[in-house]
Amino acid sequence: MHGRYRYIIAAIPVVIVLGIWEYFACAIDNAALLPTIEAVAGRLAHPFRDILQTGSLANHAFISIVRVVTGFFIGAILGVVLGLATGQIRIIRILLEPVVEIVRPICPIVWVPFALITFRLETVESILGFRYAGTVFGEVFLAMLFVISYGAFFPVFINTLFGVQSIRTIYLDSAAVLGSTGWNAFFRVVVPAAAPDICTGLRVGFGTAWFVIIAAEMLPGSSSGLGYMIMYAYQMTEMDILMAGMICIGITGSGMGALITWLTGRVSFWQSREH
Amino acid sequence: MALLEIRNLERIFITPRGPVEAIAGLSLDCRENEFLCIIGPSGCGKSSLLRIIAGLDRADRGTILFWEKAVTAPVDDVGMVFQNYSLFPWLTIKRNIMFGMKGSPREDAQKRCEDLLEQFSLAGFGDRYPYELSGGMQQRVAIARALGAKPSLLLMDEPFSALDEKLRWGLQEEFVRIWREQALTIVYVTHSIDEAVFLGTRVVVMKERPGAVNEDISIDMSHPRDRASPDFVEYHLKIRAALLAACSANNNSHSITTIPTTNN
Repeated sequence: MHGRYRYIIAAIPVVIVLGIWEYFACAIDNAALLPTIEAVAGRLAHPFRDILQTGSLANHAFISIVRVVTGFFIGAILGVVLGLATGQIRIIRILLEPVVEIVRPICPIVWVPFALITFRLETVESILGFRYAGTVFGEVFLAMLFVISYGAFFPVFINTLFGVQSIRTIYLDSAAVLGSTGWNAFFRVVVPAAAPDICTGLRVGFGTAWFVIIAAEMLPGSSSGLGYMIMYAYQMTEMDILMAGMICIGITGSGMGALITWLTGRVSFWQSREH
Repeated sequence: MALLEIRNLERIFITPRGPVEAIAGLSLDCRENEFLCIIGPSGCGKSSLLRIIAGLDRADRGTILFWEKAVTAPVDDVGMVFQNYSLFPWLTIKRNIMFGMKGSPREDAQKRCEDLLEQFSLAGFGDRYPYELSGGMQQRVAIARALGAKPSLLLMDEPFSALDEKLRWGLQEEFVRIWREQALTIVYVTHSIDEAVFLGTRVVVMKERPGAVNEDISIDMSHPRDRASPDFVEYHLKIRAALLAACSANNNSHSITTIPTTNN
């Protein structure tokens, strides 16, 4: 299926879902239960308009993105470095394996209360010393960073480890007979050969980080971000804001996912064509 | 002085059903500029032998001397070409060929890479990726890549066996030319009698379980060789007999009666 028909067919389920939504919205006729499409679209159409004195939709989205990106970077770097080390060095594998197996099933959100108690309301800004500077990093709570990094870490770590362990020995043998061993082979063969799997880990890890931040923002203590906005709209029974927030989470998340896929696509081009 | 000296080599593989002697008491010399073909029934340890010479695998007993120095790890001066799919798929053909050219200045490496591309009829394919090339071209790149590191000894593990016969003959002719042009020594593992007689200046026939040298035959014919010549057929028959003898040497049930006496 190609050309314009493809887009027409792809639009069918969207139209059906919107149709069902609008039908029930008109039938129920109660904005506190189910707002109409127009009400929600109106909110989305004005992303810079203030919402319930908490800041604009764009501002909430921006704060959520900064939190996720910061936490994701920490988790991803740790995941790649430890994944590579675990895949390459036997003693690290022996040391880390039991810890990973026990800690991994603990869902990131389960760590939220623990993180809140441990990090209290410290933010990136407050620990760096410019407490009253008022940048966006004043909104990046360490407790959230911990939970996001934790969420991003495991997919990256596991995929990197898998990537290193599944490198075909013929690549390492070829490198060895061409005079490349040790660190040289690590950077010229191990890392590029594992790169497609590392990228898969980054994509999955980013998705997890995005899930987690929304949950973390719904918890007491936060006063900004899409998750907070949704919870606040719920308390105020502003159903149109709540749904606009949900749609915003979906669009922003898939947009950033696409960005990561695009950024990482360049190192994975050969994977599907490998023999 | 021999370029390569192998003395009383022994290699034991530990399998779930107990240790298996893959190679035992194998001794072999290889002189400079020799084209040494190693032939034997499958499972006779010829690939293991090659891996041990390359320093990719260790011997359990015995020694391998390359220019009188014991081989324990891959040696700079020894190259190897594998059966197939050994190219780095994330690198272009150029980058693959230049992979082993360390120490040489960049322009120098570029120049040599261009020469190799030319020599292997790969001109214009330098910026392609391995998956864009046919199997025969990929093997040419693999050989060019091995030669890029300027080895004096080149080990080849059935490099053309995955290709169809027409392509294989073409590459054999091409490769004989390259071997004669350069001061190369080659140890070439094959399971094809035709290939061994066409390429080798010397053919070693191995026996199986455990692998060892059963017969050592010098091929006294000039290159390029004619497959239809009486000498060629003579050597073919002689090696076939040696191979059959090697197979029945330890009276097991394997026999290779299906080997044709001549090719075309």
